[in-house]
Amino acid sequence: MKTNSKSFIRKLCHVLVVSIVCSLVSVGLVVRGEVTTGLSAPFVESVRIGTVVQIPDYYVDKGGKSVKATANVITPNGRVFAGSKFTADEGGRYVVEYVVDSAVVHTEDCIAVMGATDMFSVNALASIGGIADYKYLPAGSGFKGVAVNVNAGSTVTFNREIDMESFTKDEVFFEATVEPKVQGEADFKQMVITLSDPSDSSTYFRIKISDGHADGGTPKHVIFVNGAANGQTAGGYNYDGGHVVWQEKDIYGTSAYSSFRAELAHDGYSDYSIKLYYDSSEKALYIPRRGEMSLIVDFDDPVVFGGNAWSGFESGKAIMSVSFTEVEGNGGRVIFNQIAGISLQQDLIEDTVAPEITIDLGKQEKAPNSLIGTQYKVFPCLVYDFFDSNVKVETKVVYENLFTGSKSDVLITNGTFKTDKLGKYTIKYTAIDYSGNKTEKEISFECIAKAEKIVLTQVPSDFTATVFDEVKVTDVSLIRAYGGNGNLDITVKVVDCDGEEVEIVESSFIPKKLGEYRILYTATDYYGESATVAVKVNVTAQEKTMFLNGILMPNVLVADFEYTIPMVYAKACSQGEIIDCEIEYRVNGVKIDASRKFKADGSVKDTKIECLALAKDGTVLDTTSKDVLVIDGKGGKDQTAYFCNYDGKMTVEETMNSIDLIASADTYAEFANKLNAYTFSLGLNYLFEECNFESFNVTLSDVNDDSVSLTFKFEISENGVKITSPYGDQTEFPSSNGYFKFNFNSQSGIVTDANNLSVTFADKDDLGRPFTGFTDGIYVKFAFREVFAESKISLSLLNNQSLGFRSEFEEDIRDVKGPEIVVLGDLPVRAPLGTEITVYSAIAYDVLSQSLAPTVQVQSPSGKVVVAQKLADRDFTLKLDEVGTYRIIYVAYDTATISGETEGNRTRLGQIVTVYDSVAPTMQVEFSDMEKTVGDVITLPTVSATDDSKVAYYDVFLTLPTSEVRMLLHGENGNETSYLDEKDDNYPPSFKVSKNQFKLEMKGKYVLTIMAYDDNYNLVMKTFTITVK
Amino acid sequence: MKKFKILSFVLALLLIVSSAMGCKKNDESGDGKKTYEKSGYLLVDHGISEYVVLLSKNPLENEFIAANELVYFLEESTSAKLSIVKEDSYTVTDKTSIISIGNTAYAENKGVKTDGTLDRSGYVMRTVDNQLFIRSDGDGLGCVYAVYDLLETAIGYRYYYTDEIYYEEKQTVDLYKYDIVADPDYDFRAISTWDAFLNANEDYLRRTRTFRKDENWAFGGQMHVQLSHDGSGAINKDLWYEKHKFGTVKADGTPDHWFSETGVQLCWTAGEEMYRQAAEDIYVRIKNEPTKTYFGVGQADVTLFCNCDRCKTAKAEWALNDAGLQMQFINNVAKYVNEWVERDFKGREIRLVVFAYYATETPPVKQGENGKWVPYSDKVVPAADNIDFYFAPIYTDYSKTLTDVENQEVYQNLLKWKDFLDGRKNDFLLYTYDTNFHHFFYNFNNFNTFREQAAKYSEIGVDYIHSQGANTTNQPTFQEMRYFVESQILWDTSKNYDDLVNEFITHFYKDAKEEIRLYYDLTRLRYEQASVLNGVSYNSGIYSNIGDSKIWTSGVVDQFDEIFKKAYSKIEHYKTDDPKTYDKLFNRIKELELTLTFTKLKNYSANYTQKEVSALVDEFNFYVYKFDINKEKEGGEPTVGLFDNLKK
Repeated sequence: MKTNSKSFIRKLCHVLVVSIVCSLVSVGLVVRGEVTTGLSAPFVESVRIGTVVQIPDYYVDKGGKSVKATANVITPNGRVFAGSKFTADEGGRYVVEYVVDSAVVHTEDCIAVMGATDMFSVNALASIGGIADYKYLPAGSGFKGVAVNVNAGSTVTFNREIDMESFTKDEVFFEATVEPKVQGEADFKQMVITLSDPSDSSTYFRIKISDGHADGGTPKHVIFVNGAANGQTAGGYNYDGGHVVWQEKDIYGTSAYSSFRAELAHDGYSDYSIKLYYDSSEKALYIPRRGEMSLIVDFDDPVVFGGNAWSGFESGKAIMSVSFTEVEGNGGRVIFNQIAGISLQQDLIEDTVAPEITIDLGKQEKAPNSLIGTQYKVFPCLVYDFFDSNVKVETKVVYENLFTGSKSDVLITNGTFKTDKLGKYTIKYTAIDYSGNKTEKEISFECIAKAEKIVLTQVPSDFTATVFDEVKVTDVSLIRAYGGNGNLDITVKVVDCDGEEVEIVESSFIPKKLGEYRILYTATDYYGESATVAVKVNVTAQEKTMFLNGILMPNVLVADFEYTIPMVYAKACSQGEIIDCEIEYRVNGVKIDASRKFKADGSVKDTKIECLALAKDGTVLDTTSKDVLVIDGKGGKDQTAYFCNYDGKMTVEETMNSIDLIASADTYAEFANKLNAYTFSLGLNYLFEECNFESFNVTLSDVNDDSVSLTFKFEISENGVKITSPYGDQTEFPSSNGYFKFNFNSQSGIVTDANNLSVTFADKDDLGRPFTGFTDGIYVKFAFREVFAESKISLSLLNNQSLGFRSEFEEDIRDVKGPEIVVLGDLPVRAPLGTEITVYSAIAYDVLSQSLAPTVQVQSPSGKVVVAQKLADRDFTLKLDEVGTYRIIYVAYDTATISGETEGNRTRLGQIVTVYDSVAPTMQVEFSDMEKTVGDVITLPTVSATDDSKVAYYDVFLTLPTSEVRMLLHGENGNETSYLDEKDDNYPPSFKVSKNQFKLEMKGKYVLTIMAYDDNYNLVMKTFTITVK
Repeated sequence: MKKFKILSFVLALLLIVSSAMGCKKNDESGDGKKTYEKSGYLLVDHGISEYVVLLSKNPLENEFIAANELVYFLEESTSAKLSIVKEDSYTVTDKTSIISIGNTAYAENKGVKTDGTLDRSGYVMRTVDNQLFIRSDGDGLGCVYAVYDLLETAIGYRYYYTDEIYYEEKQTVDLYKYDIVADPDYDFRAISTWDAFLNANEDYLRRTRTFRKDENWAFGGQMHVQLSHDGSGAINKDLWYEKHKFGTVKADGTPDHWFSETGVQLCWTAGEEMYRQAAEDIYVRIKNEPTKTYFGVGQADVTLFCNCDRCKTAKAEWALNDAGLQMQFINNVAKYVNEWVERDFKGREIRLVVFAYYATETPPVKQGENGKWVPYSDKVVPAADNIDFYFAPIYTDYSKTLTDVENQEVYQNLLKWKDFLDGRKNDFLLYTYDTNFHHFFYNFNNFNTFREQAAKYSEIGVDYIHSQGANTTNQPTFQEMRYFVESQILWDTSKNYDDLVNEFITHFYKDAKEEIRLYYDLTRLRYEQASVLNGVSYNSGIYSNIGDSKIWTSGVVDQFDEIFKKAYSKIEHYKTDDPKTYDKLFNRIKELELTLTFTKLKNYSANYTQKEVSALVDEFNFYVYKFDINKEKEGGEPTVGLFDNLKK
């Protein structure tokens, strides 16, 4: 943008010089004897848009007489009119043709250019005060610019599209000077700058600049700046006091030494104006502080803004508007010094920069050749011009015969043209802005008779593979192709011997059938022409078995919990055929039944789970197994048992208020039980002197796919705690007195602190893949890394479970906390009577015990239980057939029973749905359209209305020919109130005849509207027309 | 007053034209539209026209525009393109098929003339055999309006909005026997909504026959400029306040204050030194704004008028009220200003406009003989013809007629001003209102009375109207329709508001017209119903509480919701039939629905799930930005982000 700025200044100088020269030119009127010829006055060379231009007269000598020519004005967009003056209401060149006897005898022209003030528009509550000096300094001292007088509610818009993609923090993006009426006082509290994407209104960022002294304590030469994009909470980094603190409170943010009050600091670092710097690549805003560039806000920082990190302006452009808050009654004044690299110190700014044309070739690197006789699409183009938002682009196509060199224009119809001759075609784009700056761009291709055949090379040879063995597929990047037109797009797919497509995962596939597979490489050109080469893979049999999935069981089982072994599938190749195997499930060598359920036996610490693939005759073909640790938490009495450490380098101790993890070297502990997959909470306590490690890592992994995991790294120092999410940046984690609480919402990916304020964000998992949430439950692991001396972390909370024995009495120590219930959908808050809603299924999780499947009960408004203790394992629909409040209550128990009790700890989760009547009353009324004359009296019809809800109202309205509406009657369950009563002073006496009669006092159309409605405003209306002659 | 003069002239002209031409009297069809007798000639005959549009040798810009508009729309309707010719290069005889626009010599020769006193918007249009003549005075604007009237009768042309213009597609167009001397009820018509002010484009204003509110005014027509700080007012407070603030006394102990106790208004009895200073400041403005005619002197937008002993005494002795004090002030100021203008800008028309607003709404009058209102004393008689009065009856109830008991004070003031200015040349301008400034999202219920109020003011002689809407923001409150209907009525106050509403809704909302009409009707009925049943007048001052949740109950919101759902379903077929029309209609309905979305978020967010609320907030932010609905109320916070706190 700086280039523009310099260019504008150069051109501006030119304009000024031209103006000066102009004033020195003498009037061109020539007197020869009695005849005066020529211009009566010099014609202006350049004017500001909006100026009324007086056209000088032009005289010619006609037969010895001086004859005045008629002046015709030709505007930049081609309008022609005659006159002695015109308003240069558009930018560009105006030509004046002087005509005598239908012949043009002389021409003059001038250019209308933009004024700095023209780039601004204001609403009615502001006014532009022209180019002004800063009144607290002598003229010419600086801070000159476009002055705007503002009041409460003022909006100032810089109405040029700003290219937001090329700014760096080395150049001023915005500079303005607040000019208070009285030095030392502020006329307004805040200036709010909003930059929004002109093509996507929901994309914006906003900067709030506040008078520092508005808080009564901050010095008058200080301002605060904060910013936010797209609904982010506004904030800015504060550097005062030696610490960098993210500040979101009130007016605060980043402090800087500029002033709303024309006050300077005495240390030489402050200035009257406010300068902001925007870095396009960082999407960050900076301000100078004591000679150094300081970050105010980084709009795409996920650490600060979590899931709401800003992705920038999609169009790359923005419109700037400025508003003001708490403006004093007499208003204030701001001088805009420069915006987007444009200096606003001089009024006339001529646009000398030609528009930019970008041809959109889509995926093509260059224009593909065409085939003779085919239609060719004119590639679209984008045009950008800072001053002219409405640049006209002309497109033409030129054909060139390459043999003769002859050229001809080609007709474009509906954006396409026919390439019906061999040779070269050139599409030419010409963009001209209103100032006449022109840019041309062209793109050429050849029209050929026949495209070269598409050929693929470096395709692998056919080969043989074994069933169930992984087959590598050569990547398309290693395949070469040539021919065709335009870029060739190469794809690959695999089809099996039945022609069905086989999924390729990470460049390989597993053949599960015998026979010929084909790997098909296809190259496709711009016109969709393609060629395919097949690599044949002969898949042969082999006597082997393949387990299609592993045994998906936890690493640790909790004694007495019931577990179900997930289904395992296996195929075998037997005697040249593929067969599906029966699976036999065994736990510790004992076959279990088809339900695959078993209870973990606490007496067997290492439990073996086996799956046996059986042949049709029951022969065991192959076996897969998993060894699992079983711990005994004694129904929650021994919480330490749940924290499994396998290498003996960690001691787990239970205290009154916590579980302490004490590590002597790098090690980890795994929590035995499955936990809530949707929200996770962990309370942690530490003493800094016991944190002799580099990091304490918490890993959450999906119970159904342990490759999906998130590891959050906590680093603890004297200054507090820092957290790093997978592939994220390190950020401060709020802590207090050695305590911090870590919450993670797996649906949003946001980490929050003890006050539920966002801290960081996880958008990638530990493998760097996009994180999209967990499935059913998570396991959690706690690890110490780079331990250099014995270290301790105390865990006081895990989800809804307080840790530690929490009682001094042995008999009270047990699991007393109910499960957490998660409902898998949103119930409506309100619904009309008769609606069918979905009651969603629910899942329950318990920390120390096993959670039983939740049930759901629905109670209607009348207290009737319409759904009783139904297992909430699937969604079901519910018809709402009573008005009032439905209570939908989910209940879950855990397995923690004590002697004498049959049920464990219970959790109830209630939701309310308010059902309202949506059926209108029925109404009976006897009336009909009629014709009457002025003076006639109308008797209101008898109305009756009934409604299911027992209360029905009806109102009678009359719309007069003047459109005035008068309510005449209100009925409520048979009781009527008339507003035609003579005591009622709503309407003129001449109109009112009796309680149920009115007089037609004027000609025209009267409309009688009768409305019946109930308490929910369900209504029915009838209207009748009375035409009065 | 000017209006009476013009009307009498028009009447005389009509008589002359009728008798001279022996024309057939224009008739009105049953639907209120004017019909004319066919001339037997065809402007366009089966897609071909023999007519040319004849302009003078040096046509005015508006005459040129008139010709272009005529040619453009006739071609759009019939495919026949008429040529525009200048009479110095085209020979015209009695047989030539011409439409003469403006001051052609040929029209002059044929005797189609005006005497130069038509209102700016007025025109003469007359058919003579196969030739049509259109003429106007001044800047030729009347010719443009004549063309629109011609197009209306010829091809059914109606301009509803920038993207909704109707005309019949036809092959043959009759030339009717026009014999019109048009004189709109208001010569100056400004409705300063968003579209007509900050978002204005010239086509829109011209085709709706309206003006920018500040046309011909210095400093954007601002009237609250008495104490401006930048030299744009009458007294620069920065320069004079310290020296003449309240409590200042001269050496002899007499008061020397120019400002009221609070310092926000002038003390209108301050004396000659202040009057001369005010005149000097105004003179500078006149010099700096060489093309402007109207110079507002005005007053601050507060009621804190001066109440010093000097003012109290003056009121008791000769002024009666604040308007009397203001009259004496402007008389003294005008004395200087007019003298200097006459000296330095001879021939330039300058009009000094003071407010009849707040405390100055009631003129300084007493009842004279025959009950007529006469000036309270000689000092309060306007001392110059170029002192105008901008009547801004801010306390009007816009849901009631002017003669309703609720508006008696306004109406009585109006009658007093009429008597006060009777026989004088001072203009009486009307500054009325078109929105509720505390509730931009709700419909200002002047639907019922706009026509009546406009007709009443016109009947009393007002010829200049500025109806102030929320010109700092668009509103989701039938703005396009209001503008169409109101602009039609300000041209001819005898038009029926309801018929115009029906016409607009039919063309603008197309397949959803029934639902939108129902929404419109229910809105009006609900205001009346809630006012009567709740015993609260929600109708309809410019600050009434029309956003009250007792009006827009949860049930009412549900009903409106259903109406909008049906409206969308009615246009659904365009999604595949005509996607562009679908988008256009969808946006029009969506714009109106923002009133409902706003209400849901403001009052009933608890009725929705968090997901629904978040979606509503996103929708609200998106569409208020798209439709330029920037403010919830005057001086309010920007609408984008207004409900972001509801998102979690």
